[in-house]
Formats: sequence, C-alpha cells, structure tokens
Amino acid sequence: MTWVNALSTGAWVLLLAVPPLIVLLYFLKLRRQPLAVPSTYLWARTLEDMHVNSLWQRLRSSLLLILQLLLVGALILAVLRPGCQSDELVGERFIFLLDNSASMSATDLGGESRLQVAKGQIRNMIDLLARDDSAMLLTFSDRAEVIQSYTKDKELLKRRLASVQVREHSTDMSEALAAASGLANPGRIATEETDVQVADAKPAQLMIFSDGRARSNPDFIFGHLTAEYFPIGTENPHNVGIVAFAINDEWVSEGKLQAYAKIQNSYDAARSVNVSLYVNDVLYDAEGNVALTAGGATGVRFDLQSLIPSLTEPLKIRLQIDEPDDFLMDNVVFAVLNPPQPANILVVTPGNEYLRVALNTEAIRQAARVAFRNRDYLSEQDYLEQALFGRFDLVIYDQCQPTTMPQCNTMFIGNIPPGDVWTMGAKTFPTPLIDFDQRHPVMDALQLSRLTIVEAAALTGPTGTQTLLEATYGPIMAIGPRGGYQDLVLSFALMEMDEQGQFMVNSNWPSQLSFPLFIQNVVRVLGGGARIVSTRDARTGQIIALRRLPHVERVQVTAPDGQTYTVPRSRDGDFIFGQTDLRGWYTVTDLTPDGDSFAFAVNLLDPQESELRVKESLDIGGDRIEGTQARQTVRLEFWKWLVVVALVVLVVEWIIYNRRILL
Amino acid sequence: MAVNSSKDQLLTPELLSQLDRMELVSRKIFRGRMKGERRSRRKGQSVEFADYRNYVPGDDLRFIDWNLYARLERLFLKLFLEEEDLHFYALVDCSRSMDFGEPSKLFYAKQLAAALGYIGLCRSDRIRIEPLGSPLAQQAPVLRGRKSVWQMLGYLNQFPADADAPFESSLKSFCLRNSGKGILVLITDLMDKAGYEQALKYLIARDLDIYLIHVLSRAEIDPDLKGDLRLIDSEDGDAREITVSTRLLDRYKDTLARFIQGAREFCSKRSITYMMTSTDRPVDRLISRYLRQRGLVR
Repeated sequence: MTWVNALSTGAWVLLLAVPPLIVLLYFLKLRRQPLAVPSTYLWARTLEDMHVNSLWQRLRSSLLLILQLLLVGALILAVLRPGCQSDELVGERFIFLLDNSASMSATDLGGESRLQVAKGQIRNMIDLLARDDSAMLLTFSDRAEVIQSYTKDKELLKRRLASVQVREHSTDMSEALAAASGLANPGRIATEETDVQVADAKPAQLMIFSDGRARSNPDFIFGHLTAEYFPIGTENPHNVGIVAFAINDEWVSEGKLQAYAKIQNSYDAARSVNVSLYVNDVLYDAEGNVALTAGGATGVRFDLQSLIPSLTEPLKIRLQIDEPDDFLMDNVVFAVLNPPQPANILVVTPGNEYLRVALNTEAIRQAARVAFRNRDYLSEQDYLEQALFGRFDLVIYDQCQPTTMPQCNTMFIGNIPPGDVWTMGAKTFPTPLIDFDQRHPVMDALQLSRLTIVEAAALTGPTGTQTLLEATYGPIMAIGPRGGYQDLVLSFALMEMDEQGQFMVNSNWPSQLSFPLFIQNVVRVLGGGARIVSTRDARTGQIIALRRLPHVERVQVTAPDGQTYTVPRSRDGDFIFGQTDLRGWYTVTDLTPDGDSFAFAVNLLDPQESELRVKESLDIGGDRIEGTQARQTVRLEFWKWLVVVALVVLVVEWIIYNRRILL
Repeated sequence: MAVNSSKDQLLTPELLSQLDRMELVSRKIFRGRMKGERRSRRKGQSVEFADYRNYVPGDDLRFIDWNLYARLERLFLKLFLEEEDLHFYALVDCSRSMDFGEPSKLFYAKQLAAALGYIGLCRSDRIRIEPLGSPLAQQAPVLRGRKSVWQMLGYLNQFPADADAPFESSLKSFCLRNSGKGILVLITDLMDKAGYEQALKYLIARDLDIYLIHVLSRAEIDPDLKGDLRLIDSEDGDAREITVSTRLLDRYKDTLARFIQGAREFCSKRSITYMMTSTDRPVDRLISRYLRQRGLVR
C-alpha cells in the first residue's frame, strides 16, 4: 500500500481539525430534554441490563458521532490517495492479437513452440481480467482471423485460445490491426458542412503477442487503441533455412534445367549443412557441407538437365536441409516439373516476313506451334470457334482487329483491341523515344537504344495497363489486363502496306538483334512457353488461378494432407483455388473422362519468417512500441471506493438521524 | 345516590347502583367485634340453625332444645350460625409516583378504594381507608354504615399526592396501629426503589386476607418516548439519561414484564391475591369482573 500526498500542509491542518471539531460540536450539541417520570426504578433496571455491554451502548448512543467521524476519516483517506502496485489489467476492453504465422512454430523457447508460450501468457492475462472486462482474440499470419469477438466469458476465451494453431503462412499484421481498430476507431461520414462520427469510439487495450517478424505498417493510426507488445522468442535462435528456390527453364539458361536455392543462416556462428534434392521422393542429388557464415546466406545449384527426357509426367522435387534446427518449416521446399506443353500460337498478318522469321527460331519451334493466317481467316468459322473455346494460347494480330476478343492472350501490332477499352491517338511523326520498361518479362534483356520508329500513336488502356515503350507524346507500347488474360498493344506497325500494296518499313526494329529476343519473350510470357516449371512462385496462403482447357468445367485439387477440393470454373474462365494453407505438392485433376492432371508446389519461402531473431520493438504507424518483457505493474487507486464509502456513511447517518427510533 | 356531578367524582351514580348489590367476601373466618350482617362460620347467636351438640354443664340453658328432651329425654343444645361484621382495610399508596397518568394512578386508586369502601359500608362492615405514607393516616376514621359514605369520600379527597414516607415504614406503621383481622386491599404502583418485599412481609405476619392491586398508567406500560431524554424521578429526583430506541423500549417492556411477574410470584407464594391493572381499565369493570373473579366481591 502506498500513499500520494495530494494536499499542502495548510490544507492538512484544516482537514485534520475537522474530526476534533465534530466531537466538540457533538458534545456541545447534545442537550437531553428533561422529562419527569413517576419513577426511574424500571428504567434504571433496564439500563443496568443494557450496561452489561456498556461500551457498545455508549457507542450506540453516539452512533451519529461515530458515523460523522467515519465519514471524515474516509474522506481524509481518500485525499491521501491510497493505492498499490498490481498486475491487474486496467481497462475495459482488451484485444489479444496473437501471431500464428509460420515463425511462431519455432521451438527456441526451451522446446515449447513460440505459439504455446504466447498462448500461456494470454491465458494468464485472461485470468487477470476483471469481471466486467471484455476481451477479444484475433490471430494473424498473412491474414487476420477473429477467433473470438468481444466477450466477458473468460472460459470461452480460453477455449477459443486453445484452438489456435500455427499456420504455415508469412506475417502481415495490417489486416489484424484494421480489424482491431474497427471498433476502437469508428469511421466518419463527411458531409458538405461537417463530418460526423458514425459510432461511439470504444477505446481498447491492444496486446500484441508476436515475434515481431511482420511487415511494417506505416499508415496505421492507433486512435483510441493503446498498444502493448509482448515479444515471443529469443535473441539467438538456431535456424538455417531455405529462403528462395527456383528452377530455371531451359530457354533462359540456354537449354539447361537448373534448380537454385538460397540458404540463410540465422545462427550467430558459422554453420555448414548438408542439402539433399529428392525427385519423386528418391534422392537425386546432394551437396554436403554448404558453408554459411554467421547470419549470412549462400546459394546452391543443382543440375536437372538429365530429368528432361523423363518428363512425360509431373516430377515432384523436394529440396531439404538434413540438419534439424529450431524452425523446421523452412528446411524443406517443394517444386514440380510438369511435362512441356507446346504453346498454340496464331499469327494473323498480311505477310510480315520479319515476324515469320522471328517466330521460326529453333527455341520457339520447340516450345510452340505457330500458325500463320491472313486477316480473312478472322471471319472464318474455324477461327471463331477456336477463339471462343480458348484453343489458342496467344493470337498476334498484325495490323488487323478481330470483331470480338478471343479467350486467350493477344498481341496487337499497329492496331488496338476492339471496343472502347483501348484508345489510340492520331499517327504522329516523328516518334522520339524517351523510355522503355526493362523490368517487365516481355522486355527482359532487350537493348533498344538504337531503335527507330517512324510513325506511332499514343495509347491508353484499361486500369492496370503498364507502359512498356514511351515516346515524347505518350505510350506507344503497353500491356493491359483483360480478365485472366493480357493484351500487348504496339501502336506502330513494323511494316506498312501502302495503297499500291507495297510494304513500307515503319521501324528498324525487325532488323535488330533485340526483335527476335522480344518475340521470344512474348511467346514465353504470353504464350505460356514457360510452363515446363509450374507456378514456381506459389506461396502458402496465395490464391492461385489455374488455367485448363475450355471443355473442363471442374477440377479436383488434392492438397498435401490428402484433402480434396472440387473447384468450378470461375466467370473469368480460370479455376480459382485458395486453400493453399499447407506447404507441399498439390495435384490438379480435370474432372473429365480423360482426367488429365498436373501438379504445383506451394512453399513458405519467406526470409522474414526464417529470420527468427525476435524483434524488441514494433514499428506501427510511425510509433515504436517497445516490447514488454513482463506485465507492467499498474497502480490501483482506492480513493474512489473511499468516496463511495463516505457517501454510504452519509446516507446511513441521514437515515438514522431521521429514524432514530428504529435503532 | 349521586355524590356530585363533577368529572372527577370518585363514585358515579351508575357505579353506585352496581355496588349496591355487591358484598365483600373473605376467604378466612374472622371474629368481628360487633354483630353485623355477615353470616359467620362461627357458631353463635342468630336465628339461623346450624347444628346440635350434647349439653355439658355450664351451657346456657336458653339454648337447650326442650322439645327434643321431651321426646328423647336427653339434653341437646341447639347451635346457631353467628352473624358478625367484617373489618375492611384499604391502603392507598399516596407517593408522588402515583400522581401520574391520565387519570392519575392516585385518583384511580382512590376511586377503587371508595367503591370497595362503599360496598363494605352498605353491608355494615367496618371500613378503614388509609393514605399510605401520609401523616393523615394516623387520623383515618373507622367507618360503618351507609351513612358514613359522605365522610369516607370527604376523607378520600383529602389524600395528598406527595407522601414521602417509605413504603416499608408506612406499612409497618399500619400494622402497629391496627391489630384487627379482616380484608386488606393495598392499592399501589409498587414503585419503591427499596423494594416491596420487606414491606409486604409485615402484612403477611398479620392474619389478613390481603389483596394487592398493582396500578400502572398507560405511560408506564407502553411509554411513548423519542429522542435523547433525561428522565427525572418524581420521588427522589434521580436522573437517568437515555437515547430512546426500539431496542431500549423493548428492553424496558421486558423489564416491566419481569417486574410484574416477580410481584405476582411473590404474592402467590404468600397467599396474597395479586392483580395488575391499568388506569385505562374502568373501576366498575375492574370490580364487577376482575375482583369478582378473584373472590373479593360477589
């Protein structure tokens, strides 16, 4: 019990003079009314009986005095502000924000997983909640989940807490913060005159239990939330993990199929590990004693070229670190090698020889079947059916335009797609180029410094359109989305046919080395020529769009744990699959008589998760929240209760004063 | 026979008409000094035959039944029931404590004494009413006959309300002055701090048929008090400070009940007929119902 002096010495003298004053006034005030009675004989005997407990009688007779002294005593104590340090949670509403991302499965806290430790801490805090306090439980990985909304039922909270499991996902706190903020900081409606708050703010205590391995949230505003961060984990966890894995297809690596992995060491000492590569669960290759510096990373490479001849069915690749550590999820990565499927490409051209030559390279011939047609073919039934059913992977419209867009990716040269989504300005001459986007896969490895274009026009596309080549007057080459497909549009022709049927050269690009490379990129990116290695970028929790032949209405996806999901075709024509919660191989089977199947792999592959060192503070919304190692003690003040006691005493005194006969 | 018409008259005409038909009854056989209208269990001279017994020399020859001698040739003496008068004493407590209540306990006591005295006078009993604790008691007249009613009432009206002699010494004085036997009715509130036990023992020593009428006022039985009070004894000025509460009043009533019960037990063990009455109870009702039940009148 501690006290806080809230008054000056003079005030204390005045206050302490009150009780003696009351006693004085009491004795001055008490004038008993004399009353003659026949005899005090019986009264004397009565009083004698009662004097057996005379002290109590005296107290009773001066009950009002005692109550008044009690009242002043309670007020004096209240002024002293008594209080004590307590672990008790202070507040009315609490939000427990529990990280259940992959890194919380690390066992660096004495064999118990971080999630178990965090759950234990939350359970203890639930026990500390006052009876009228309400709390809610949110978990977050790459998405947030409300495990239990606000409740005062502690047992319910504990039951729900016990049901929380680790998800093999990366960490993103923003969604959870938004959910927590929803009640504490209600939105506002702005009108012309003023803005109106739509609901009462409900301040809450936000308690974040995490290892801190989350992306920063600079835009978040706490508002009425008061945040506390409880770091879960150690400073020096033992972990070596695979943080990147890719299998390069044979085009890019000049006909070689190779697997690359990046291995990261979170130890504070140098380590060496053995890495093994399994194909269909059979050891294919291994690299021993991969040396890693303290906190460093290194790469390993495996040659898979010898697998290409046997690629008649999907091969399941698994790369793993053989030595166990505190975090096992990043010790294994998965990949799938699907048999190559040549792309089906239609080129509608009035006779562009450069294009024909560029599409006739050895690499493209291996990866794609290319058909050349003139623009009359666009009105034929065969084209209409094939375009409608998506038999093509890519259609290149050279200086022509279909009436409706086909169900595939397209490339327009010197023209734009039909409709009003794309617009093209007037032809402009000359066309000085100012920039091109080398980061886009279509423009990969292109050198366009000597490119010259005679006439072109400025382009605008749908939302999400990326400019690939820009002239002084605007974009002249751009790629834009259309449902699940992409349209690449060049506003300039490579060769133009004049009124006499003579071809006029509009650009020097076809004669440059970068042109066949560009066409190769187009075929690989838009024609699906990279499908030899499937969905290498799939991460846990990611929503995947699967593309199948048009006659397939439903597919069945088998998850690594054996659970099957039937996925219908979406309106965009793709099969949208979101249950990618587990790492491993997913098998997709067409629910058709022939039942074709392929596989894809899902991995964690998050350097943030593999970097296990706990963060001592969180940066959220420009604020730095320092970690709280133990519950901060708070000072519980009792003065309010003393004032309540004083009020009760006052009421009792008043009742007694008015109804003394009852006592 | 109206005595007077004022409100505080001791005997009202209605009461008198009831009393006319009553007589005082004693449970004991007393020897009266004069022949009265009362039939005694003692054999003596009267017109009412009681029994026969054998003649022994020395007997009054006038009571020999000569007719029986003619038939049986043996001498028998005729015995007759004696008719005699009754000594009736009424002692009225005139201490200051009696001068409380509405009507006051003293007035009630005088009224009761007058009523009982009237019954006795009507039956030619020997009546003596004394104010206890007052010097006036020395001059208490012995009354006999209906004609003495006025004298009795006049004497009663002289009773003071401030007698200060102790209860015990007053009764002792009475016993010394009066040796006669008969009925004694003591009308008091028993509020004497020295206690009533020793005083009553003086009476018990005398062979009297004793009735104790314990008179209490409504204010004593159920006091209507509130607040912080200083109670002052009317007799000795003793002061008691109380803060009235339900608990205190309950305790007072409990004490009173024990006091009454103690007096009742004390009396019953010593053949004293005890009766507690409140000044609220009319005198005529007290006499016609309660005293008749207890055998004082019939």
